Amino acid sequence: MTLLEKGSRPSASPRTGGSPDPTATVSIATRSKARARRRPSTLTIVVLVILTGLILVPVATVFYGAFQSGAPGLPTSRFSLDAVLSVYASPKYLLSLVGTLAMALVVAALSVLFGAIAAWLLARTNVLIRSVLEFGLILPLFISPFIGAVAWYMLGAPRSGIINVNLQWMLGLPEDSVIVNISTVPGVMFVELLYFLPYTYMLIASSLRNMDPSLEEASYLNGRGIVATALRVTLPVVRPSVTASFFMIAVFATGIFSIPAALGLDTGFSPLAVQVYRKMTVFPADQPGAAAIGTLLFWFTLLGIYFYRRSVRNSRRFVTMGGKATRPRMVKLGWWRWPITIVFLIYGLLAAVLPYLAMILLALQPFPITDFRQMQPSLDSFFSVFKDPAVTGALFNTLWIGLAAPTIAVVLGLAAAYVAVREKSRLSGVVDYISNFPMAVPGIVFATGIVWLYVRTPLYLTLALLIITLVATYMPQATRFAATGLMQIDGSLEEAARMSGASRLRALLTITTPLVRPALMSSWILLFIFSSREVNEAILVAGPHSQPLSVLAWNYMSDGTLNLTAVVGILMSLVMLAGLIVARLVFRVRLSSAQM
Amino acid sequence: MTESGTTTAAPADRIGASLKVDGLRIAYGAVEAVKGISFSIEPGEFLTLLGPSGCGKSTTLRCIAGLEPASGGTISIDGAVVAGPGKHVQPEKRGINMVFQSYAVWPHMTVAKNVGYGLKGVPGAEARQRVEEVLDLVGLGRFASRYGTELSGGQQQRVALARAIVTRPKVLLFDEPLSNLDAGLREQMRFEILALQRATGITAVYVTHDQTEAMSMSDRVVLLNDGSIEQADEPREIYRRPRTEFAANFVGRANILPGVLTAARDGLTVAGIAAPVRAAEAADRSIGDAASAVFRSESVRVGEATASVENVWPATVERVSFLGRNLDVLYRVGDLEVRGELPPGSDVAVGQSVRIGVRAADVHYVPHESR
Repeated sequence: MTLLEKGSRPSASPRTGGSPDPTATVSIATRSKARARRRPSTLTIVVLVILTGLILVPVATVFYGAFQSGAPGLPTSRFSLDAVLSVYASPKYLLSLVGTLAMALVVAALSVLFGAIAAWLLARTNVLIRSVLEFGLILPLFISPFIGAVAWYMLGAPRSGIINVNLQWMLGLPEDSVIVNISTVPGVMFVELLYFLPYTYMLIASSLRNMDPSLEEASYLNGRGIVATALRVTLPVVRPSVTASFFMIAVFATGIFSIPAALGLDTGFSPLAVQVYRKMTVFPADQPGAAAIGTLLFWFTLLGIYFYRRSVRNSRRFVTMGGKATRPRMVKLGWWRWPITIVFLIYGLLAAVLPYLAMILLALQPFPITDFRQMQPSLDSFFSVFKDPAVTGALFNTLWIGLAAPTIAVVLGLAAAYVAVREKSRLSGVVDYISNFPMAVPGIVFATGIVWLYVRTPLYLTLALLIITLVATYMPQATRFAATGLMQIDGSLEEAARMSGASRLRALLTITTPLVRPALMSSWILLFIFSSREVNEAILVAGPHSQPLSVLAWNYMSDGTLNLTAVVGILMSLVMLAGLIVARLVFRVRLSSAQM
Repeated sequence: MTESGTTTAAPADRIGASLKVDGLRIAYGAVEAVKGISFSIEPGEFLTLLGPSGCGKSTTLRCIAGLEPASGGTISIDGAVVAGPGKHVQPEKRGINMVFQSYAVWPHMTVAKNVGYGLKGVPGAEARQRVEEVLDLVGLGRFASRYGTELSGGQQQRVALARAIVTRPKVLLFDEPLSNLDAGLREQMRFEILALQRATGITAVYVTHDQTEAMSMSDRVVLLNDGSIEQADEPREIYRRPRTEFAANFVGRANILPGVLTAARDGLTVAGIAAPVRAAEAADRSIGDAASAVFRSESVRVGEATASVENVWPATVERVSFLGRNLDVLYRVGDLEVRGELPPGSDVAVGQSVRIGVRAADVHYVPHESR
């Protein structure tokens, strides 16, 4: 789920707490004193070159590809306007663009609405079992949206879905009557909403937490009631984070491939991201066309990121940090506590409980049986999956990716953040900008560029290339975590080391690195989860021997063997769970909403 | 710090270096923070860079430390150029150390580790002994195994101090080290730092915006304003004979009456005052004709005390505020305001007409600055 994962952690504050800016994807360099040192350091140059090759070149290649006449690497391919014209001037694609954007904006608006209400209720009212509800809201973050979508396909597919098949006989409805159909535009939007909601909730909740409670107290003392205070004081103060989360979700939803693709949204309208995939893979492939659609998508995600960054920058103006640790006044809900708590529980049911029940149920069937009356509990699916040699390979690939991509990304992110936060050359701003750039590029579009760029190299279809792709994709998160960590370390701590006779390197290794380690650990764990469930890019970049579990699940799903898909989905969840447990018990890193 | 501690920490080889700053300029893009300043420090001297925030004093200090590149001019330590055209000796190679405003005590290390950090290359046993010695010197011997964050502000400041002297630097830099402490502790630390510097003989450059710190600790004060030196002198001299209106205002409270110098340059014609304001010393040619008469508020006399005084004016008492140790009195002389000090028991009332006066010996002239 690259798209989601990509921006998913806009708010990277390390566990050390008291982190100033959870919503920060703002340009770091502009924040530090704008001091221009004449010569950029070697580190700056090295980081700049790596980031350019990792991020900018593949994106540029998408544009190059859009102006080619044939497949990448083909000697007969030459400059041509055909692909661009056929996409940019075709009513079919323009209509699809309008549909994609409309869907994205509606999903973003609804996520923000529900996310803001949930954040306010959890932060300012006496809801029942608050910590349980909060856990329920962030739990879906640890489920891959792709797996969630797959599970919802099992539940709500028009003919074979568990809900339809079983309600038919339970309610005595005629066969073939469709009660829910998840493979529709509203269905896709529903699933997107389920898995995007935690992000808007977290962004808005963190800005509510950072708000100075005396602003609300002053409103109460001026005779305003609960509603007036919430709407006229609280909402304006958190508005920048509301706006920021709106644009963030709009960008994810515009470029997301996995959810509509997994739900099989393919009749009549399909989002542009799905069309990119189809043009790349379905015979007869039209790679220049895919690249051209990619560029079309890119303009809008870029615009969204522009607005996103602008609102995040504004958020610093409003939210007061490091204020007194007084607790805001808690609104008493009265009997409303009950229905509100039930609504939260229903969300948890829809986003986490039902999907996993469906997957476990299907994984225990020898065939994709969805009718409760015909179910035959068996472990055959597990056996057949584990007998498939592709599975062992995919498991190892996933582990490899999960270990290598976060490690490289964290190290590179630390270097980039160091340049952006500590170095004072003009190029630090450029480094900061490039490292945040992948947020604006939908995963499947970036993957198109990667394929085009590397198709003639020995790296093509290897695991290494997939890891390189993911490192580029996760640079925004890795840089953000490290930068937040670095910004909390006063520069004089490093300078004191230099004054005590330490070289730059010794200061970096003995002072800076130990102090940012908690931030780097959180970053690593998060990226581990992201990369072990990634599908948006892997689907195009992985070869037959480098496919991870997510792509395997996708293949089983395309074959219609939902029982096997379920087994792989459970396996993926177990890998992620193992990662979290190791993080918690071995490295003492806790992921909680406060730090995301 | 105990007397015995002081003596053990002053081996003969620990003598400070001389430092010379020549035409130092520091620019950030188009903004020039330090505009070509020069001063020098003798070995073992305690020099303070004093000035309001934004005057370039901290920047100058960081430039001496090597943490900030110079845009022009040279800095040399014991005659060896450490910063100059095409030359920038890395901070760790300059043989200096620094105490930071934020203390910069590393939170992931114990006090002993913090202090011993700079003793890389010193054999273990000797390093341990030196750390112990320095910690005893600053009175933190008992806290060696604590973590920096478990200490109070004053204790952290002592750790920072110990860490800065343990490497036996030739020059010790202080960047507003006391500004985060509360008033009582600040005064105590002032004396401790000074005693330590005297005992070790390390050359010290101290940056502060607090004139009391500057006055009480320094051998010499370099008063900076807006990137340039206003005056570099001994503390008493700056107080007694400020050379500019800024210096008069920044150090102590001064009355500044603008006017025009008489032909003999020993009187200043001030609008609204009948007789020229006299000073004991005639004004230097270099200060021009438009000048200001400067005198301290404690030099202002009232009533009978004005009997044998050269400058006497009729005044009305406009405001009296009780400051505990004395009364701060604002007099009006024509259109001018004059501030004076009276003992707390004095019998003055607002609106009262009085005669006030200043001895010519307490007045001197500075160039007039039009604001």
